[in-house]
Amino acid sequence: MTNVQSTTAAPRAGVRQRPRRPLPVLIGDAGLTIGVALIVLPLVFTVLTSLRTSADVSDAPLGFPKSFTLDNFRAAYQSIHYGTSVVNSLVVLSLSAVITVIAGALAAYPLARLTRSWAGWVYRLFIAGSTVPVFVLIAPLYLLMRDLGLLDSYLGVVLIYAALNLPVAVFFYTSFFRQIPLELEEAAAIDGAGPLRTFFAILFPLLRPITATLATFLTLSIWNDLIIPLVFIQTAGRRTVMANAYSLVGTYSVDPTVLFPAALLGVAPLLVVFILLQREVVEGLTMGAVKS
Amino acid sequence: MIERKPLVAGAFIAPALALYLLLVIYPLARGTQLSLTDSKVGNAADFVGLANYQTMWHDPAFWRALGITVSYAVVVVVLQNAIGLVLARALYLRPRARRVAGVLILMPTLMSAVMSGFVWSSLLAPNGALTSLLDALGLHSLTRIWLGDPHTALWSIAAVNVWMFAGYSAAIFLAGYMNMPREVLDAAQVDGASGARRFISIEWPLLAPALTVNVTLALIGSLKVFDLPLVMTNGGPAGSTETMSMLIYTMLFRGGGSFAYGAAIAMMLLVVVVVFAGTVQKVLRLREERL
Amino acid sequence: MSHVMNRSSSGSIAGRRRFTALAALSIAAAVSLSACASGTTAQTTSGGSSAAAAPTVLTVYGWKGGDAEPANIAEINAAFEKANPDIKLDYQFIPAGDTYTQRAQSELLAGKSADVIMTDGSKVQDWGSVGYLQDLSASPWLPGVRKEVTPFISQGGKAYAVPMEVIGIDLFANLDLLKQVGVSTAPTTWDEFLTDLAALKAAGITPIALPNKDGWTGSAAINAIAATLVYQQNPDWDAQFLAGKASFTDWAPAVQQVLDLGTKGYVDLKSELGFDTWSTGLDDFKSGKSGFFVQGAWNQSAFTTAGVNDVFIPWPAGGAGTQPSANLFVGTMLSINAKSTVKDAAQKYVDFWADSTNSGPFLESESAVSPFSQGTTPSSPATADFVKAVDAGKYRILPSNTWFGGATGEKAMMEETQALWLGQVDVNGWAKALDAKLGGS
Repeated sequence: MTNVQSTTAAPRAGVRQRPRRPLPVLIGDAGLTIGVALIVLPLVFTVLTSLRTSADVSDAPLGFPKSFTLDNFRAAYQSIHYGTSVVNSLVVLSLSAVITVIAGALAAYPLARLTRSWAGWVYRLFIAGSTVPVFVLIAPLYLLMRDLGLLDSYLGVVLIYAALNLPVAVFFYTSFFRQIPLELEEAAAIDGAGPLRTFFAILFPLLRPITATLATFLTLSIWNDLIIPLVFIQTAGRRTVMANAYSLVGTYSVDPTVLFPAALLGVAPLLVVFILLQREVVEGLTMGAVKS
Repeated sequence: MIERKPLVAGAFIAPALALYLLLVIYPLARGTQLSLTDSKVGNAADFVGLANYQTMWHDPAFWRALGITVSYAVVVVVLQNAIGLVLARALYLRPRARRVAGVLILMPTLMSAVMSGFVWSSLLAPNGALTSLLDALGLHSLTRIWLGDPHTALWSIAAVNVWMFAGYSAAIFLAGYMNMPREVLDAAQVDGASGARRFISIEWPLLAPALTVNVTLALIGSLKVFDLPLVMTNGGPAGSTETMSMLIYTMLFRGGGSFAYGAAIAMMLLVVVVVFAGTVQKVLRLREERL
Repeated sequence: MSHVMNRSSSGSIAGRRRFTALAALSIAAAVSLSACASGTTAQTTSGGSSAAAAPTVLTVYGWKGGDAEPANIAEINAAFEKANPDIKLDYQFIPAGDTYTQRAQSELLAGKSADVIMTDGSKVQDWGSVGYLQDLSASPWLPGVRKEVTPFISQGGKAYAVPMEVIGIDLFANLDLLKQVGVSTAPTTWDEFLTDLAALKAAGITPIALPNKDGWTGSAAINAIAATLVYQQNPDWDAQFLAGKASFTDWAPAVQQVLDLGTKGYVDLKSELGFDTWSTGLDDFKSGKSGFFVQGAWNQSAFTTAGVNDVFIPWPAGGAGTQPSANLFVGTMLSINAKSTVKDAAQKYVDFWADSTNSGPFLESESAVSPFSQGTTPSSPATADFVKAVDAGKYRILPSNTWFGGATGEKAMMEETQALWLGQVDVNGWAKALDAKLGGS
């Protein structure tokens, strides 16, 4: 596949395997490996700490592990009611993601194409709203949810997440919509397709890598979010996994062997969702990059 | 085609706009209204006009937080995108590594800011991993009390922020790379252009949309940053890491009846972010159109 | 560009189908799960049963009683239900601090919160003043509250909470380490303290740990010292300060003691600013790494479980022949939601807690002192000296309902103390800054 040839010019287009990688590339390889290792190391630390006993960790937080135990994970599993809360998190996540993606993409299409001023203002409105930290909105939002009768419900939380993430979705989609040439739409119009069909049959599929990337972003921001489920869901059985995990932080103390396993357990399903989405991203990207 | 059908355009925008207006703009408006009252804990209260804003204008803590927030954002945006770009390019040129490395660099983003904050707090402690590492490498003179020294605390937090999201920036840049037409890239290789020249004249301009997205997201995110300094330094030492969001949070929820004041500062944060992000966006968009 | 179109159309159909399938699946899952979830009555029993004599359900919020800090609350709740078979408790743990406030405050604003809510000095001031809390001035136990504690549960002349505990924030001493250097009892005067610290240092043991990354320990230490050096002579210092008749320059000797510990080499103040108070600091003392440590008494049970042989004492700030004063903090309280529909049941719960035979297990687990003058305070070997000081009337209570509370109070002290430790201000600068920031409102 692609091999960088920075020395002399290759006589043909397309590339072929070289028996030995040139030095600058090797340096790049080393750099990349070091970079990735540095990025991953703190996570390794988290996992290691979770597998040690509390006493061992207190004694030598960074020392060589002198113990190995799965008890921390077992305890965390129980105390955060793992099974139920993971399902809760998944439900909230998928619903919010679906609504955000569809509504966001639909809205982005005209916003990307229209040159009228009101479109520009709508776009600016979306961006403006994304700038406010969520806790500023909590109190008025709570009152609103109460009046709408959506407290303590999945629907309420899903709608909140969708609304909060729409700016990002709109932003993502408008940026990449602009790259799609107008001729595509015109061709579809000539074929007799209405705007809705054009959108779903032609335009939306082209944005697959963007959708997957956006879905990744949404997954991260919604899965790990603590305050919305905590404030808007009262029934303990409906709580999301991270809200439960965070409750393990004591009033005045943080025991890493209690918190880290819970965090890791909480993140584990995310990892799976994540890897699936990344496959989508890569597939979509590879599709899109192939020449005609 | 849709430009000629404003009604259809409106219908497309309607669902998103409706949801957004109801659940974001309306509460925001209420928040603005609260900032013009003397509400102590978020309850309905008496109108006091711009009194809160006047207090804010004369509050040194506000100006300090503003300075901290802006400088933090600049550093994070630049570093995060630079590192992300390097990673993306490296991964683009190594398709076999892409699958594994691509997932690995995104791992920090999986951890919530709270967890990352805790982990890094212990790594950056005076007897923590970073100091031990520097000592082992014989670089003892470079060690600092990372989170306890006002000169390094904010930048330590910025570094953790970059660690968390560099992979994500890389993913977006990579998407940008994948969107580039192969013919152009291959043609450049045929022409024998060096890596650096290829980057400057071809890749960098074609990355413009990805850059816009990345810079805007990073800017907005870092201007709002809050759980990281909260967990890592609690705004210390001596207030040197108290960002605007932290200040707002304290006013809103730590009692003392300053809810309305917190709301006022939140409005200012909104203005700051809109101004910054809007300007940057405009500049980058114009550039995109030029290219 | 145009190349994108051809390939993607074939791959996209499969992709789109998969996406739609995923969407449909998740919606189906959600619908069935919502049906399930509303049927399942989760871990706590919300919603009354349909039994013949339906018990009253009382919801209670607390930031203690979770897995990390059970504090024997479950035990007390069970005892309450046994004594009141017609009341069913729904105790909900909510993480402490701002999270708790965000949740409870939003709900109170909407008029929908729990029947009984855990509060503290600061919240009573805020929520009492806007009418969220039920007036408890007619409660039978009110006259029994220690007179210094009454201001903390009151606002505008009315009582709004029953105090659960008064808890010490003072000095822990590791007796085993002291024994190693030939000291058999914990110090009671400043000179003894210095001697002990010197002995520890000479033996290569960390004399005292004051991890201060978030500012809490610095402020706590100064307050612990001030209990003796400021409040013994002048128990009304707080009132005088608020009236503008006293200044933080009175605290200079207290501040100086901490600085002296630094100059004498018993603690590296600048380095301590990098240590996390709540994880590393606690862990270090638990694993016997430091001789002395400033923290709250609620940690005593964790230390005992970890096998540390320690005592909790008032900071020995005074001169020879004197006894130091304890530094107390009015801790958690219970208030009744003004909009509760089951106020009688709520009042019973609150009255139950006011009886120290009932709240004993809680006080024991927290190593706290009873807030009632006639209440029994459980004593353990570790806290014996501390409780003696309190019983002898040698104590002072952190003014978390006035200058120390709210968004600015403790925060200002934490910030200025950090600035002091960094050398950004000197003792006079520290005092001036606090006078300005916290001055009589």
